[in-house]
Amino acid sequence: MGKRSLITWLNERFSRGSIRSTMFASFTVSAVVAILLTGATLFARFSAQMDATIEEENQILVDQVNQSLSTYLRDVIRLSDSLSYNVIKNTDMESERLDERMRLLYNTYSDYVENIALFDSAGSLVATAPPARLREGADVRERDWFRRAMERTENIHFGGPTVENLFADDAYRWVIPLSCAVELTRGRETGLGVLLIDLKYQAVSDLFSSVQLSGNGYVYLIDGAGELIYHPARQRIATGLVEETNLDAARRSDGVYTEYRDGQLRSVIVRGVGYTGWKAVGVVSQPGFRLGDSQDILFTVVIFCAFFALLILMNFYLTTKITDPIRLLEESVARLEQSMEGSIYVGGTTETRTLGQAVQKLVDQMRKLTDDIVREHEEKQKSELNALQAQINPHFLYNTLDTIVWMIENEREEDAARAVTALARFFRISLSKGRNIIPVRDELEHVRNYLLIQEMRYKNKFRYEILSEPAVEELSTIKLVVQPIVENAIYHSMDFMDGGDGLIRITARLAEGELQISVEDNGLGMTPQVVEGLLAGSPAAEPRVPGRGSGIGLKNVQDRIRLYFGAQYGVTIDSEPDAGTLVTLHMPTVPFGEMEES
Amino acid sequence: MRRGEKCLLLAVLATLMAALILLLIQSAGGGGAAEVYHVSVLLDAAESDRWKNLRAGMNQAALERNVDLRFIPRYDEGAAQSEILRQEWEGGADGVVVLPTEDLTPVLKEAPDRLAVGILGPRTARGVGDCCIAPDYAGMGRSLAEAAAELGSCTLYVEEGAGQTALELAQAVEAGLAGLGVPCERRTADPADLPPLPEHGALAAVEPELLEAICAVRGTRGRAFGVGTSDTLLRALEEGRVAAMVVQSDYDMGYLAVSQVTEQLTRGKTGDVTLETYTATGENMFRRPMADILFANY
Repeated sequence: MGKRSLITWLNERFSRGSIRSTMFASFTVSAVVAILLTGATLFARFSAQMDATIEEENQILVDQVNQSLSTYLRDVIRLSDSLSYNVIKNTDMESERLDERMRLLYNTYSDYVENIALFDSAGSLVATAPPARLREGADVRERDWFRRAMERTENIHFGGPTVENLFADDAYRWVIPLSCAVELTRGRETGLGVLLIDLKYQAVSDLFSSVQLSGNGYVYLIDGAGELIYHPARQRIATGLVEETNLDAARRSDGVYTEYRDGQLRSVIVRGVGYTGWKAVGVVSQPGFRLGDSQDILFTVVIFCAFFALLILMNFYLTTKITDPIRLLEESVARLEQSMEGSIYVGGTTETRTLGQAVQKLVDQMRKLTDDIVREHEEKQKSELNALQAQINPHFLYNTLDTIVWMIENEREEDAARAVTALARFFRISLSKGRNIIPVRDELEHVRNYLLIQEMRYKNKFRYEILSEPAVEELSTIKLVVQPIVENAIYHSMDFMDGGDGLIRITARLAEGELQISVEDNGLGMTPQVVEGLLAGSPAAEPRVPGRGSGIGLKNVQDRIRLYFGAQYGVTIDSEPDAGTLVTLHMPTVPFGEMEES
Repeated sequence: MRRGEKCLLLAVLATLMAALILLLIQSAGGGGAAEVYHVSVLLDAAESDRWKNLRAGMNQAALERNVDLRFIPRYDEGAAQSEILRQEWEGGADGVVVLPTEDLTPVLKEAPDRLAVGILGPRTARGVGDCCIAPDYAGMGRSLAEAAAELGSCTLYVEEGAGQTALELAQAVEAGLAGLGVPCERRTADPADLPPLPEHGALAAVEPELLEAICAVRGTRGRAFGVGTSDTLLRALEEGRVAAMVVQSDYDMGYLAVSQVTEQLTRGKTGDVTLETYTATGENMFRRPMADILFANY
């Protein structure tokens, strides 16, 4: 999986996973990263401080051993000066002996002096302490310490460690020779001699071997050329088992250096030793402080796991506290989706409570809207049912049938057939197979059949006209809305007209962007109060007379139009007493078939 | 808690418990503190000056590796040695260092597996011991042969009943001399009762006691050649009575013996070590690094 795919996958997991999981993972990762970073930073800081402290202590130790060595060397130099100036110089070899005074001084310094010997310029032994004689065949003039003392008479010379084999005893001992030129007096003649003080190598060795630097650190001593004087692994260095960077150290001035050796970093502390040109070198492995021990590692693992477990529990508590209210909210919404019953959970944090309250409010509004829709639907159905029931008013049917019977009895078969046919068509359109929306054409046909029957009944007291634009006839209308208007016009106006002057004109047209079906009569007209009462549905405005009219009021028509099409449509009445009445139905222009039955 | 969260928590708790238990076990067992091993060294004449450097090396290694070292200086031959060895490991010794001897092979085979055995010398024919620290005997013999070849002929002395090391060395000397075209005659001798020595040619001995006896005889100055060191031989070398000695670093031998035994105890495995050899003469004996080798603990 490439890097981009991994990032995409992670983003998807985080964005699509639950809030709880995302929060838990985020908190845990953040806390773990924070712990690790803090731990690492603290460890680095602490270990750096520890390293600095350890290095400082190591330097102090090296300085201390250097100081001790300097003190030791100073004592030895003091011995040499004492011998040179207080003993040898003031002694006439011809008449005095030095041995006793040398022995006194030797006894004082015997802890770190192996022996003291005085030679003349020819290499002959003049005095020793303790008493000793030269080994047979020993020639001191070939020794480095003798030559250097004779060549540079003003200096005290410290030689490198050597196995002393000058004297005729059976012991081999490591010594560090100190030599200097002295003035020998023999009678009136003075000459040069060489004072040799063999320092016990063990004394120097003890100084350094007792020093333990941090870890497996150690201190060693080199001369000016880098040759080892003391090293804890001197013997192994001689055979090549161990290697040391003593030659590098000899080239360095006093200070602390870092070098890389055998796969490890180490600090090298270099300190010059006074009087001699020697250097004390401390070697310490780096880093001083580290987690190398298995116990340290186990302890770290225990602490980390303990914190991690505590972190998981805290995360669990925290995420539960935050996400449980969200989950309860989610569940209440789900329940509501299924059954629309119950209430929305409101609780938890401020945001969750606000959300719950908002959702509850939405649900309440939704319920109210739903109730409104149901109520409207029920009202609509009730209105239509009323309209339908009214259409099957038995009085109109009986009266019409009576009229038909009279026609038959009076041998007006053609009129009777016309009446029966009109009646059949009237009721066919009234039912319209249960549809509430019919074309304008059918609604006009319905009222035409009605008017035909009523014209016969009212013995031509009025005439009627039905006018419509062709484009209007295919528009949708609610059924049974025109006939009630015409019925009212007949019963409240035409019935009172004489000699056929009554006219009912029905017009269907498009005007002002809407479908307008108007019923105009030249009858009695109405006062504004009556008009107002008609639309309000007041019983006084439209008294129901048994046998006269379908009983569907103007209000029913208005209500039905508004139920289907909205409040901007409905019925308008324009009437003037003794002038006539114009009732206009306003509906939208919807082609038949495009409107849903509801 | 969900399944994933439970699994994570259980995993962390399991790790915690495991680490805690390990920590407690380590603490109870004295973990953290460096373990101290007990090693016994069976060395004939360990107090003699011949083994000063060896002991110095062993003591240094013991100091560095936290080893409690115990020297068993003298023991009788045969069954007494074996008994001493058995007592050591039954007494709690973790390891032993011994000179090679056929007499100890049977008892070493009985030693428990936990006992680390270091051999100062060549591996025995029966292969006992976890590690052997020995010089390159063939090289030693060649070096001795090269030093002695200057005199044109050589008489090689071997002690009666000499051990495997001496015999190997003798063979190496003979091979070396033969390779140089120098005639060599092997003779058996007792250091306490030397037979008359040839008046010409090199006199070689592969055992220090024999060499000491040879160089003490008048007329052998500059003709004695040998192996190993002691204070007497060093004096003789200095005085010219011994012309040359082929030596190894006894200090290194001792140091490596204890180191290898400790390695065996801590890691369960170790290996043999072959030491370098050097030819010491009167001219170079006091110069470094030869002085550091010959006088490692003086």
